Amino acid sequence: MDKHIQNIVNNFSNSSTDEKIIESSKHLEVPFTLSSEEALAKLKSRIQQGNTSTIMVKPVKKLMIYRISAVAASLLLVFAGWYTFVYNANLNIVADKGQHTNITLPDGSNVDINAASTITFSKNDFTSERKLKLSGEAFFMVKKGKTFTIKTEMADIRILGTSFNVYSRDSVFKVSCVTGKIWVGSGKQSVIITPGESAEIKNNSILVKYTENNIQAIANWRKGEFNYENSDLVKIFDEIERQYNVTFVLPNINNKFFTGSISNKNLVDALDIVCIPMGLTYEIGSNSKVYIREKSE
Amino acid sequence: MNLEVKGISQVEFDKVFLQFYGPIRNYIYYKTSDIQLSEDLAQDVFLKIWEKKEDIKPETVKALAYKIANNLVVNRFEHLKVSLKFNKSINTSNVATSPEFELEMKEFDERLQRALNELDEKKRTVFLMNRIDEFTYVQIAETLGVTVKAIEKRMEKALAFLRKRIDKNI
Repeated sequence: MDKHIQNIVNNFSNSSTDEKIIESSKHLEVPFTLSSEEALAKLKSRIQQGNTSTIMVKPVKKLMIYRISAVAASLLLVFAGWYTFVYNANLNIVADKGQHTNITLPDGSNVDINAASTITFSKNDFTSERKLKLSGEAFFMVKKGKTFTIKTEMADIRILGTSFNVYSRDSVFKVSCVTGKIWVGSGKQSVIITPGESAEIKNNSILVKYTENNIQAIANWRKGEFNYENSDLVKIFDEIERQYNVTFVLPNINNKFFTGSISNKNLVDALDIVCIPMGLTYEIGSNSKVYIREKSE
Repeated sequence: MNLEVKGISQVEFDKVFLQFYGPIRNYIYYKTSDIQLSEDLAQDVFLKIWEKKEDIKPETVKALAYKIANNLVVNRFEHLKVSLKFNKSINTSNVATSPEFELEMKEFDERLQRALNELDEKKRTVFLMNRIDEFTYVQIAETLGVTVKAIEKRMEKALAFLRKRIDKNI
């Protein structure tokens, strides 16, 4: 072996470029940090911990928060957050139904989390790798710095520093860019969106980008306002369920579309705004159940 | 209990891992030039194989691993510019070298690494799989699911490109 290397050393200067390329490239080494054995041990421990769900996403630990009052719940949330922060590497920030919450991430980025939404990230790794998982809806103000990655059910989002809204519930995925530049990728497709634009997954598979008429309105949920333009009525009742923590009993309202604004301040007002123009009546029952019916002729 | 042998056992999995983890990690690195990401994604590749190990035929596991790796990478980095960095694995401590040789070697290496970054992804990946991971053309063709002829072409073009870049820079 040494003899072989000695040959290389002796003949290098006189070799052709091709020979030099062939010889030199053979001695290149990828600057890895883990040996194969260490990597195998790491994988085994991941499997043993049941940490096998998806790529770099660790299992979600549910926080049970009962809504005694908004204040008590927030206090509990802060406490639970602190508890998880201290005792668990995976931090879960949950905004329950009927709540919004705000969190400042370890890198100084700020996130407003809408009702019935969860953010998960690793307390230990976040500073070295800005990466989190979102289910639901949130508005991000990302501090400039290393790549910030958001993983959702249907797509990944990568940014450097910007503010934008992410909506990822059921089979709906939509990102709206307010400032900066955002990379959105799903499957083999990817788009880059700039301020005023949104990227959305249509028909469960196609990633499209388009310009918003009113980008500011997208994140109006942060002020408790929800604006709709010709939106599927079912989607609006879903949002009211999340904002007021109620459950609807709905008639068949497929193929009905609503345009207008509702707020999360007063349930009766919100129901009036939606139901009156849509020709529906409502009845608030016990157990936070709301019955919606077609207006009889 | 079903005694019909199907899939790969835990022992076989370990063997496959130790054999292919390095090349898979390297493969992702050639495409992304991000070593941390390459190690993470290589883990995920084998995690997916682990999860499916009951249904995988041993002879297809290698091609499958490359396919998964390729999917994970394509999903993320279609058009990223790479800036690959390599360590030098040649050990010249036991042989007689001259400072001139050391300098020439170092300069050549820098030139080579710069040229590699400019090489397009397909050719670069094939070239490095052959040079660093020491795969034969046939092995590369099998793992990537293309013909040996295509691999020969890519190698030829890769070498021609590198030669042109390096000679131009002298």
